[in-house]
Amino acid sequence: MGMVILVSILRAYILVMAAILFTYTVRHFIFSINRSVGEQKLYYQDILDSDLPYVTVIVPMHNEELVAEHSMENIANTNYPKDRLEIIPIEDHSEDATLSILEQYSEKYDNIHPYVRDTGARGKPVGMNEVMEFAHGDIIIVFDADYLPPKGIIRDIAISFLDPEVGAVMGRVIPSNVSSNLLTKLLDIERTGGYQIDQQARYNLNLVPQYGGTVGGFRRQVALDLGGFNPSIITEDTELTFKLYQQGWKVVYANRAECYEEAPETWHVRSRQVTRWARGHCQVFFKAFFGMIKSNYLKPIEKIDGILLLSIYFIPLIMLVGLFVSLALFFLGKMNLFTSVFIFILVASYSSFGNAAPFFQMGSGILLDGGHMRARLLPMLLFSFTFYLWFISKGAFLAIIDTIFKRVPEWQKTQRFRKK
Amino acid sequence: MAKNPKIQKEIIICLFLFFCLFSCFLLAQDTRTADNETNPLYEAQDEVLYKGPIHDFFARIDERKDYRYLLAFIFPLFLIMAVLPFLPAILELVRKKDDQPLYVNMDYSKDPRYFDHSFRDKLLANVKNVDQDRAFRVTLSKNEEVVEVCNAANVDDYKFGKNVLFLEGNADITTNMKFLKEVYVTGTTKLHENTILRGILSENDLKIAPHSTIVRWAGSEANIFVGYDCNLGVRCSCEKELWIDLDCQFKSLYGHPIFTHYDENAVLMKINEDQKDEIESEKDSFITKETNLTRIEFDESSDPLARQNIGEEEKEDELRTISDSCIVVRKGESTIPLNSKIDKDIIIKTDAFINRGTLIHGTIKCYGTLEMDDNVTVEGNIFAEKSIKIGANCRIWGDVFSQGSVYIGANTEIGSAGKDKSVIGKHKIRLCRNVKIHGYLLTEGGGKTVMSIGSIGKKEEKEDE
Repeated sequence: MGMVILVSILRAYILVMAAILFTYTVRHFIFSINRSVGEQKLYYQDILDSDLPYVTVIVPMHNEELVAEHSMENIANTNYPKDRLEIIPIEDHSEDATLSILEQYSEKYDNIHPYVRDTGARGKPVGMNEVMEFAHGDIIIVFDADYLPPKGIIRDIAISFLDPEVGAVMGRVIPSNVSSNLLTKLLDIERTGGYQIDQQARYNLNLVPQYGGTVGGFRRQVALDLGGFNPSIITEDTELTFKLYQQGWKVVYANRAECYEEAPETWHVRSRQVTRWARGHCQVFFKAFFGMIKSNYLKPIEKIDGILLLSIYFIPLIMLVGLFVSLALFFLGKMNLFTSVFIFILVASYSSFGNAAPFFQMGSGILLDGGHMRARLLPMLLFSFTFYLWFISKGAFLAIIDTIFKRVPEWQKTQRFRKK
Repeated sequence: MAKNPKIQKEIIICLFLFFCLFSCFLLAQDTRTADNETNPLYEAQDEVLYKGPIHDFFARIDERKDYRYLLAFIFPLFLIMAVLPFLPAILELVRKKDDQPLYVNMDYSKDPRYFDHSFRDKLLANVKNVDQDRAFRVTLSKNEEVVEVCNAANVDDYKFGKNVLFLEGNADITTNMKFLKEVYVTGTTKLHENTILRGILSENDLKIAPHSTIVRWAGSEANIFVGYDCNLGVRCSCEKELWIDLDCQFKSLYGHPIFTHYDENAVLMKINEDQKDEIESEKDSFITKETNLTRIEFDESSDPLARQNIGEEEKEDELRTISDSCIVVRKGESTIPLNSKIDKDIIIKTDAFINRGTLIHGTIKCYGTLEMDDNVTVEGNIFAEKSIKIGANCRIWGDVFSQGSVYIGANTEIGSAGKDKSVIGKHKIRLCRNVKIHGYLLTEGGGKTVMSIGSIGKKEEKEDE
């Protein structure tokens, strides 16, 4: 009797997993098709307006001597009106030459005001909360220390806040060190799929584009009214995104606001980064899930997309467990799930297209970007797919443990690879 | 998707391989069928039918009980099948044909006069290299071009020329002229009727007579006057005033202000005037006279015909606040009553109609079609997910941005002198007479100056929706 119940549970798990994965497959294909042949929604970048909002640019930094100079130089030389721009790099417990670099820039440019943190807890959310209290800008725009903002990017981001419903804006991230190795090339392809297709399609379809915490901005007062950033959540960007949606604000995606970043160059650094993202994102899932469902501001389709977005880092964990469940069923000789034609179609279509759906999305993005030859690398994503299966599952698992035992995860900085 | 010749080549190779495999398969099938038909045992012994070369191969292995052949066949096949999908990726990793980061223009910044500035900068940077034939070379966009330097008085000699022209002095381009390449004029430029130009930049006024066509762009460091039935190409921009007559087509305009002037004689007079001072004085007085809009005093009364009014009568559950300065209207088709006064930003989740005399101190965001009656004032921006129709004699102080089309009624003014504001309509823009826009106008679909919004017709409106 016990064995029958166990087998039934395992079989049910496989079927539920297939259904979830099929849903994501459909979502990926809809996004790819929308970007390839659908009507594209205009972003606000074409608006020319003399009355621009006052902007504070925040750059959180911890031991960033390799990259601080470049980002400061680029931000200081943007063409946003200087009388409407304030730049606050946060020097957060650095032990290298970051502070002296920032002091040099502070002397050189009147609107750069470093904020030094050498007491209290370290981390981006804490630093951001403190700076938001005294910043003068109505709009906060954030860049990570390794980013190289182009001249017009602050205007392109800030202009969208003319729309009274926009609470946050996300720009596009492009890896600058693509040629370094296979990992950076694969990350470049992933970014292409994620921004060029996923984010833009969600913007086109009035769904739920995500604010990504860098190359983006938000309304300062709104963020303060929502209680600032929760220091116990390590993906403060995801938290802000869902808080905004629940309160009726919108997040828009600016594909034109492109900015170079430095992608991780070793698998070890990437594993730590992706584990942290998964952990933080899943933390937000537990906090925001019911809020999204109950929100009066969201249409049903936005709620569905929001839930799918919230749950996305659980999928590798679900698949990993599914792998073990299917092995168990196989050795128990109970893997005969395909008696029904419907279920066969469901599972077979996932096997045929589901695994490839994100790859299809990335391929479409590559074609839109005009980087045709890098499409040849798509099969190599099989390796990163397997890699993520483990490390994202680990992050999701840690988030579950954090939630149960109310643990506060420690902030981890991503290692830089830029040469001096 | 496959416009790239390299991709086309790869697709052709894939199709060829697929064709080869498919042919082999068909051949095997045909061999089986043909052999069966010629086999004397075919009719007598159905059970010993010849089943093709592959079956034959396995049958022989089975017969000899020697599986070394099988292993020798299967193992390499497995290896080939496993490696084959990665082959293009390995080739790319070895050959590195595409391993540079995606291009981001680090110097990009929004400039409505980009064509003009870029063209002029390139010409003026290279004009010092002029040779004995009075020509120099310059790279415009992709190709290197020859620029001929000549006296603007002799411009007629360069009709249908293949080179870019650098005209010194005031140019008077006569009727039916056609220039295949860009023209730069150091003085005032006058294009007579039916002129066709690829691109032109004039350091002084640019006057475009009726029925002329600009293929790419036209710019002026001073004013531009455009006669009726002209096509202004991709972009028409100037530092001062941009006058446009009826039936002109455009995609992007920039001027201080852009002014749709349908008094044919007045525009022609401007085009034919030679005395710049006179032009300035007359033009200023005309604009002031025509567009002197007075502020209306509003009284708060509601329209009894309104299906759902935004204001005090709104049901509480249909109004939600996302900030202290903003109200959200969620249900039904919304109408703002006559002579209303609203002091907040409004977000309307449906179609909306704003009755005449309304004054809104704030920005409007509408998820449906937004229609404004005559004499409406908005002291903020207007955003709509569908079309925006602005009535006559309206005053908008901010930007107008639509994911659909924008229709602007007669005597309406957008923006204010000394500031840049924008009118953006994704699908199309229609401007009636005496519309004044301070700044920038852009549409992907195409813009046109028309007599009235009503003349567009319901079919066209339906297409927008």
